[in-house]
Amino acid sequence: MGKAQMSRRRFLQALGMAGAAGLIASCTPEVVTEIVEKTVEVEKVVEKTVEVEKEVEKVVEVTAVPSGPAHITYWLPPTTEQVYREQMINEFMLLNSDITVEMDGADPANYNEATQLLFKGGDFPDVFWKFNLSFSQMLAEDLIQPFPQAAQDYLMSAYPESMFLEGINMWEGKLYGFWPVGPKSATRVLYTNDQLFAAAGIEVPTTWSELVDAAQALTDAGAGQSYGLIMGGLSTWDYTALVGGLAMTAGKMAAADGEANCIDWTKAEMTIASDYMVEGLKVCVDMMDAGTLFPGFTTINHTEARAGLATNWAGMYVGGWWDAGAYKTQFPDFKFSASPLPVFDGGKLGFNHGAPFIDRVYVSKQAEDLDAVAQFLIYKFGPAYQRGWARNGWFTALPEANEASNIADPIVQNIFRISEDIRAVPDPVARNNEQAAVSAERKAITPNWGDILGGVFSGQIAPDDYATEAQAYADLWRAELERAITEVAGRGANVSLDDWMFPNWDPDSDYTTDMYADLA
Amino acid sequence: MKKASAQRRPVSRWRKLDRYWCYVFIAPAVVSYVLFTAWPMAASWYYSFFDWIGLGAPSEFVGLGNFIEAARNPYFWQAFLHTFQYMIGLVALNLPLTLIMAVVLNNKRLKGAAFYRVLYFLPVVTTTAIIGIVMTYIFSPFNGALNIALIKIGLLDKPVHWLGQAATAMLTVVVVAVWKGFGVNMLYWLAGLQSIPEELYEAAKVDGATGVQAFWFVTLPLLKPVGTVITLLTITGALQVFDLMKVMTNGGPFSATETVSLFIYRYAFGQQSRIGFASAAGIFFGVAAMIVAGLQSVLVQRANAERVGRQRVQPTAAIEPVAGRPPTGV
Repeated sequence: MGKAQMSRRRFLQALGMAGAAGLIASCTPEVVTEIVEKTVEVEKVVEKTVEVEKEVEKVVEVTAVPSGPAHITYWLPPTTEQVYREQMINEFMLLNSDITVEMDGADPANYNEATQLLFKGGDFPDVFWKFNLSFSQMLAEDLIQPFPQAAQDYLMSAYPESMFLEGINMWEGKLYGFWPVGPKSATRVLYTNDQLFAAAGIEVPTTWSELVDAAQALTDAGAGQSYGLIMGGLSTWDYTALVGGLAMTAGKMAAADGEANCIDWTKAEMTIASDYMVEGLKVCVDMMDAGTLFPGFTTINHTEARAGLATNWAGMYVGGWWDAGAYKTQFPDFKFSASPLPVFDGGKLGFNHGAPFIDRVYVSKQAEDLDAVAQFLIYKFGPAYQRGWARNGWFTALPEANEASNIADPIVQNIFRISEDIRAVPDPVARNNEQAAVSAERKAITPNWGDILGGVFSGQIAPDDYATEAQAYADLWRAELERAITEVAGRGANVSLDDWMFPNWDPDSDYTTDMYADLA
Repeated sequence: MKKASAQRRPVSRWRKLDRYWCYVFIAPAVVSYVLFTAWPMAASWYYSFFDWIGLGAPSEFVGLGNFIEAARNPYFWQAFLHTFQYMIGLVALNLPLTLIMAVVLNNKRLKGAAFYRVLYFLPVVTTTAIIGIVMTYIFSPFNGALNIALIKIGLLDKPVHWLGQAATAMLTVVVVAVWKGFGVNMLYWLAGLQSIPEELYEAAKVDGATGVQAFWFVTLPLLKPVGTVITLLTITGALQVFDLMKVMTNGGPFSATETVSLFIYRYAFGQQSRIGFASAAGIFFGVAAMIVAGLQSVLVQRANAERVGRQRVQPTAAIEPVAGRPPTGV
């Protein structure tokens, strides 16, 4: 107790004050001119990439510069575009050295659960992919905010008007969600293994009977090590893509993109029990009975089935437009072709139907650094990113990304041609925004169409009973729709079943925005 | 006198603290129980009365609507049936096999018993998800090891899709679960066997009992209390099956192996989040599990009472004396 000493408390106080002072000092806003100089440096570094240079100039002109280091969390499932996405985000951070983008997420199988728990735990990402809540539910729960104004201005000037629909990704004139794919997301492709086809000595099938014959030839040539067609039964959309994709050429109102597009929009009735759907399923059952479907397909998922084509488990796979990019990035040495789905033997009688897929990326209500978020979204949906996106075979509605000079790969060109077969369907929410409440009120019915198809493929539903089961499900779907409309109308909303009926719908033509006005 | 009283003060302070130390050591367990068991249970009861998506505050009160909907859902009762099928299959296969193995390993003349115990316990400590994934490849009809082996030895002429057919999927998962949990029950049985006094076997041997007779009349009766506990622990664990089923079949094909836990998970985190309904289904299931737990309590008490009663009776009285030799004991 002799000479005076600093007590522990005082020492910690002093340390804390010094640390706070340092923290405050580090947050000093940067001068604009300094950032411009940094941009110029980056231009020199990436001079080989013409698109990137152009994008840098645009960013500097259009957007405000963040006043300090910014950190954005981008939450999404690691899907097939992950490799490309990581590369482009690294380039974004190179161009914007004061913005850090942290990508994180959960496996697609657990994404819904993980995202719900994330939000429930208060750990909100800045930018995230949609999970198992609808747009209206996220609005009602105050989970999202409109895109930053700079991002809205850019997107609405760069993309077609059809990519912005009130009630779908816009509310009260503000853009809340966006995804550049649009109606072409319904595109389904017959991917074929060039090596196995050459070994079997056959051509890519163009009709149903050629499909069955090709599957048999591939299986015979495979000698038990490879088969005709592979599907991912654990991902039931593989079933609906194949059956719906075959049926859509044999009838007017089918689609390869799930039950939501297999609807007679003049009557608001599902068409999954129609004759052409039954015929499309029969083709698949015939292949299964002949042993030309990959054994064990009921217990593998979409990703495994896709990989199965590349690893010579089978010669054919009906996949999505996104799978071409997956093959190019994950299996760069794999030689494959992309073709339209085989057509009904009696001739092509119908088109593929798709709803606009325009809302996947959202900004959470808790996102604070909106200038940085704006820069990120503009870059992500801008030409530099989207041109590379399109070159990999992934759809974008950004016109400059779809220029012929950018799409040189014949496979990607093929997929783009296949996408021209899509006809846009009407959307009740776009017609009457109050129908969003009905969508939120409707309860999912299980088993759904994909599950019923799974029952047929696993032998638990006899093929002859499919039509009965499918019609029963279609009736339940309609009953649930009517219940939800009655419930929501009872709360004072101006909704009715008429919002779901579009007498001016032509299944052979796109349903355009002005056609909603004709019904008003 | 003053000195004596001054020395006594520190002792009484420590004694006061002594009383509270037990609460300090119990506190973490209590807090953990409240946070991870009691609170979720109470919350589930509360949420089950709402139509709730899981985010924000529950606002749409539906009363018993969720319970009525669950009761009317045929797939819910199908999941219930599947759960009990799994449980019965697991208990019927696991318990006898593990008992037999425990008896074998309890043999003092067996060399390397410790090694075998470790071997059988390894699956227990392996992550269930990893086992499930590996098993999907082993049981695959496309170059799966099991099918290849069975075809080679002539038991099959073509591959069987063990996990893709309703007829075989559940049994396949049960077999994997039996293998996965083999080591635990084997150790429980082993502990029970080692608690049986050696003198009883010696007395039985003197009375001329064979090995089978000794097992039937000495071992099994004395294992009854342990066996009851093992059985009901296995039942309780089987009713909660989730991870293995999710990884191996995800409830398929076409809900053929969907258990209640998978049903609840699907409604909670599937394409449409319905936490309220999932909670109601969970409570239905919880009530069933509580009935089983109650049964466990009754049977354990009964088994304990029997054991106490038996300990007052000579075990050799149950064995027929060898002809010409008087019975020993009493």
